[in-house]
Amino acid sequence: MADASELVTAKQNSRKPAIKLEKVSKNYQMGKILVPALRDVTFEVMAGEFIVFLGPSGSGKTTLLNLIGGLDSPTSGCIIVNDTDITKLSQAQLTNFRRTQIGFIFQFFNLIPTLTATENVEFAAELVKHHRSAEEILHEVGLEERMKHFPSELSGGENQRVAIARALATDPPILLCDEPTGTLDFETGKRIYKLLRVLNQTKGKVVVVVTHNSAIGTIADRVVRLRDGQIAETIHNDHPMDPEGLKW
Amino acid sequence: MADYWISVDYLPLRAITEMNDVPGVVAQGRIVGDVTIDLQLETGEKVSGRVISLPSGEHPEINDVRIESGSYLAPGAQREILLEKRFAEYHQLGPGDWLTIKRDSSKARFKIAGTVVSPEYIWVTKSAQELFTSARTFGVIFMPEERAEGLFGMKGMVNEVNLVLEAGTNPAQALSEVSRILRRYSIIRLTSKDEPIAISTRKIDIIQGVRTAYMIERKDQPSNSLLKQDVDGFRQLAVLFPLLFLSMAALAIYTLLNRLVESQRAQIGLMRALGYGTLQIMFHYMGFALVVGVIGSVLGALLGHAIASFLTSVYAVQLKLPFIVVEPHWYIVGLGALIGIIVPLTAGLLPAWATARMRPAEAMRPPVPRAGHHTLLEVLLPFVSLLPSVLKLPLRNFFRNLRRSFFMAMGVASAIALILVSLSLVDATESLMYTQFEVIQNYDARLHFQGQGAAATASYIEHLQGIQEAEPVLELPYRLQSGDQVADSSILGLPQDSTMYTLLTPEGYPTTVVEDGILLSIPLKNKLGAEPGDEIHLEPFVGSVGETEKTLAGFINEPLGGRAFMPLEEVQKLLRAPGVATGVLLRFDGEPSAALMERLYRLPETASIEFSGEAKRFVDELMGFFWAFIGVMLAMGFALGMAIIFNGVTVNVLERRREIAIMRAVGLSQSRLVIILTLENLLIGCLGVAIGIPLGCYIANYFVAQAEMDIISMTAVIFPRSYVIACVSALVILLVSQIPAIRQVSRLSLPTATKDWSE
Repeated sequence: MADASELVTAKQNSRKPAIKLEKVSKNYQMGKILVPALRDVTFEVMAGEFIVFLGPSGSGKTTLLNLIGGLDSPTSGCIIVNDTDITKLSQAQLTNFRRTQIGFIFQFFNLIPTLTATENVEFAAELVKHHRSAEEILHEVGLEERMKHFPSELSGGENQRVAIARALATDPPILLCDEPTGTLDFETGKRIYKLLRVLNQTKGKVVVVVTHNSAIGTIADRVVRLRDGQIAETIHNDHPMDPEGLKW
Repeated sequence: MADYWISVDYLPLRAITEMNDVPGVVAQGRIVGDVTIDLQLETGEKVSGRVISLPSGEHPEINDVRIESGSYLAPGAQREILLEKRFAEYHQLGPGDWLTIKRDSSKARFKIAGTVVSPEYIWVTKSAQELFTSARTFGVIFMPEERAEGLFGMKGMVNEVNLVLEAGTNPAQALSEVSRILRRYSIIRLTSKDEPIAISTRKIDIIQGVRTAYMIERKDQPSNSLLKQDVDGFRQLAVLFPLLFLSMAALAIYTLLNRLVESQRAQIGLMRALGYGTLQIMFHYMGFALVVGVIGSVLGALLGHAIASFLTSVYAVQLKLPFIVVEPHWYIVGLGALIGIIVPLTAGLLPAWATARMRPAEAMRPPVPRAGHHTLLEVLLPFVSLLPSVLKLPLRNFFRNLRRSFFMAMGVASAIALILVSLSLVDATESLMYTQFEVIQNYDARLHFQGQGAAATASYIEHLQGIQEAEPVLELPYRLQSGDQVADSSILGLPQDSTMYTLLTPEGYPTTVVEDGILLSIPLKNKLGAEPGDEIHLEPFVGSVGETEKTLAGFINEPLGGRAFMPLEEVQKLLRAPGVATGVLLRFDGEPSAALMERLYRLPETASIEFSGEAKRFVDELMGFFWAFIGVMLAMGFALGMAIIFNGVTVNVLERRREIAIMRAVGLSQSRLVIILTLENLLIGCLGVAIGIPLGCYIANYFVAQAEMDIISMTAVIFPRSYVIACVSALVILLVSQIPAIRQVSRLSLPTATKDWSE
């Protein structure tokens, strides 16, 4: 009987890349100074993978996430997401790309304060023709009791779960999470990662997490360490830990 | 300019010398008389003139004229005259031209030495009864004394005395001395508007052949009184409009600065964290607000002074004033500056104070999201949730941010009110002109008799070729009294079945004169404070009969005039002169021919013919300054309205850039975003319209009521087009205003906006 690591490796090998970056660079013009945020980054994220980008502030991890999500465009290089070179897309096409391919989960939740949990999810769901009901998704993230509540009436963890539900609303293949537990307490953060892992394992969602918290790497299939806008190290995690065992 | 004008039949010059001996009195005698000017008008109308004598060679001490072109009367000049500027300009006459003057059967040609303006004729009016006098048919001529004596057969005499009382002189005492001198010259009684002779006394005077003099004070001098009424009317508007503008602008500035400082919450928190005290932060923002307030106030005062100078110069051109002095009213500038500084200070300090009192860490953290809540709309209209998101989102945003929506709607409402108020004055004026000249004065011309003539003349005229209809009218100057309230006006006697003078009720319905009662125009109603059923005491200004009491039967909406109305027969009965009239209303059959006009002028009773169209043109001319004033107010109303809406929309969109960025990040297309924001702004606009229209109507009604004059009665009218213009303008401004904000939001860096709460 093959062990888990073999299974994962086999699984990865059988999959094609969901995200592919080729020599991607991104520079920011800060006044008169040109600041390189990413330098010639090349890597692939396989379908169904749970990947964590680790790095200190200024290492380029959020820039990377924004480029993959089509929120920003690279200075050079190409980014292929599910066979589409998104660097060649127009703004309108990028909007459509984000709508169908990407689910964003932000550190500060970014929910619309005047909409209830259901309405926040519904708002995103209605952007696509065939969508699931907001109630169903909220039920999935364990918020069936809090559906009619406004963000100001929910705890941080609940707000982040609404944000996850919103990200799932259009049933995108990729979830991009930027410090998803950055403003949450330890227990709540752990619950969020459990949820993300479940979504990855049961729904096959590609989950890309950027964080500076190296403990999170223990639950990922792969950990990519960034330093000064370059990949410093890639670690394949043959035995990803159950998020329940997370400690930081 | 004189303090008093005393009219007499004749008075020797000796009397003037005696009056000058009265301490504190400066007297001047002159001859004033009416003549015919030999000028041919296309319409065949006759041109009349008022001759006023002046010393040749030297300017008079009182009621001096200012030379506008040419020169003053040369010493010893006999054939020179000076012409009032407006008349000269109308008829394109100037120095060197000749003018023929006719009196009775004699004719004389005069050379125009110069054109002048006179303080007595800033508003050129024939008399208090004929206020609307056109330069087309009436002019003022200044003639050397010697020549006027010859023209009017008054060698060594004058028929008008002008008095100026030196400072500190007791008017009652001085006038009593002047009265005493007049009595020495057989002028037994000196009457005035405020002290008319009782009819009983008048009867005795007529029997005994007593000579009387009539005195006008400066306040009642027709030109001065009209000018004062005009200026007073504008003074009201000149206070109300800036007040309206100032309060709206204050609201806009308050909102803008308040939100600006509120948006710097993180910076305030940082300042606190770095060790700045609450007071230091307050001073920082106080300085900022002060700079805004002071710069704004200084620019406002300069701009205000420029606009004031412009408007004053327009008024001066309108009235042909020779020169103007524009002086800043420092207390108004000061008040404006004070409000201009206090409002930004309060707007800046309140949020700065609230934030500075927070703990630094709290201030630097993202603001707690506003508490959302379900609205009544959703309870009442549960189907809202079934609507597509492009409709649902604007509705929810609108109702769930009612405070924001309301403030924004108030901005739109203010803009609508500002535009509507300015437009309402245009409408009220247009309506006034239409009502007066198209509805009420349903005649082409009015023939004035010299004094009283036969009403039957109307029947004669009606049979002339080219005349469609003619109706006699009888108008007499009367003093009306109800209780303690007195009003000097006139009574117009109209045929019971008049088709040429349509009387309208205040509600705008046609009515007719009432057999046993009197009808009052609105200005008279306001002056007398009388109600239907009250007895009105009537006393004629001239003659020894006609005093009576009449029951007030109702009110008449006559925009220009301010008269009382009775049946023609009733007025004739008052005079105990059946069959008399003072004029005839004429309706021509097409354009009147020169032959017809000639026949009309040759009638023995005819004094003048006043064309309705001419009167309308003349009133239009008089309104010149009003239009300029309204034009400026309208422009300012539009500009301020635009600024308020632009300000509100920009702040509204920019404040929500994070929310908008999230929507864009999640996948909301640009076009959908524009639809959502536009629909939300339109909803706000609709609420603004719902508030703005009644607000505008209320303010417009108030403004029109304030613009009331003795002879002009404005009715608050707002034409449907004005509602449309105001609302459409506000909504268009609203929609255009959102473009820059939406463009800015579209260019927003989504990564930054979704990451950093302070963006």
